Amino acid sequence: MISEDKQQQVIDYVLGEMSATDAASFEQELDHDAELQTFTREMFETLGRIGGGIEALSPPPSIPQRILRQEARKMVPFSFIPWAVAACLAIGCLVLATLWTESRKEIAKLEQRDLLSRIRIAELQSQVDAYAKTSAIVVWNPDQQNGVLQFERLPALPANQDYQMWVIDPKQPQPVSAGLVPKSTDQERRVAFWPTKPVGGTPKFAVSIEPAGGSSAPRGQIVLVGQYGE
Amino acid sequence: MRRVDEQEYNADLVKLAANGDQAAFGILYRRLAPALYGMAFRMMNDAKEAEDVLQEGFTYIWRKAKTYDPSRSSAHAWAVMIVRNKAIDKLRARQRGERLRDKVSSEAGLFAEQDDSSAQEPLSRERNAQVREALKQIAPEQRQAVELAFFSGLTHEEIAERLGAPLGTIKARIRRGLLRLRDLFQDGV
Repeated sequence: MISEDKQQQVIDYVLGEMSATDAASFEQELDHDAELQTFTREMFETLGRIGGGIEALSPPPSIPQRILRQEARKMVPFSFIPWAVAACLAIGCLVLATLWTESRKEIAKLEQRDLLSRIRIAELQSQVDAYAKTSAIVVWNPDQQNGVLQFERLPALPANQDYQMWVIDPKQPQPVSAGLVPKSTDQERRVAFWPTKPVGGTPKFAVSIEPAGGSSAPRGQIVLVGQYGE
Repeated sequence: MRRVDEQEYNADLVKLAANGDQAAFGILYRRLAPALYGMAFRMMNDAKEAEDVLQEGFTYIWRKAKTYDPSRSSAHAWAVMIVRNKAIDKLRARQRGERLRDKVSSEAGLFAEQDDSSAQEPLSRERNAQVREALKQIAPEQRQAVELAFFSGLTHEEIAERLGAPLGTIKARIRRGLLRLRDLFQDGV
């Protein structure tokens, strides 16, 4: 049983109320006390729930790219090596670069082959007459848990309805939402999707018509369904 | 094929990001950023500053993914605390927490009833509703102390001063509030 004083110490630690010195000494204690670890983890999870419980907002989608570009720039520091040394090194570098380029080409080929062996393709079939002419193909990467849905001749919906994509994992009690199909007047379009929960096995993919904003489980008519073969 | 739960999936994405997997980092962002951006926006009360906080938080996640220890916390809680700490650094540095502090101590608080028709993922709406429900079930003074301690950037001493209560009382409210919330979350509210 963790004493109140110790509980207080944990709370100060997780909320960042401890000095750096006290935090370092607390972490040493934490490494050797399983009960303290459990309580600390519970407090982190409780705070995680509180922080994650505020209404979500659409974040700027470009942030990951910005971060990766910024980090890539940092990986290539400006060189102050004198020209003379640089000239000597250049010859060696040229040889290495040639070898490296060749290796990269080989690696890229292997990676491409590996990626292609992992992706899955499914054609969705219409479930209602109005969608008989609609063509929909899913390209799914089970390892990365994302995919692309390409539509042709997808009928437009009224403003109070949205198309919602679903991934149906037989091991899960209900279909997993993969987001809404953005409204567009184009009958042909390509939509990237990510299920909100991880899915396994050989999932089915479906598109339903839901009230605008989507539903937590399919409530409206399912208009397209399909599954890839193993 | 591997079948994992949501927490393990997030932890796997952090692990992949630690090895330089940019696609995994992108997916992690798509999964966590909406809630974290919502939190940052409520803390900063300014969209541009919230965006800066989110970017700083995810930069830290990318750089420090190797230090993430799944035995200490879930990846979600780890990310929440990173972004929360970035927001608090900014609030403290810029001394711009006043509007939020007023807002937190107001009756409505940060977890006022939300319009469920808003464009959130259905799962996220459900989680928010659970947190609101849990917060309703703890004593109002505990809820106020927990919200101020988590979101405002005020130290516990500053909270005590602001609420005109002894420091020990404030610390006890925060502790009791968090313990009760832990139990409620564990019971699925």
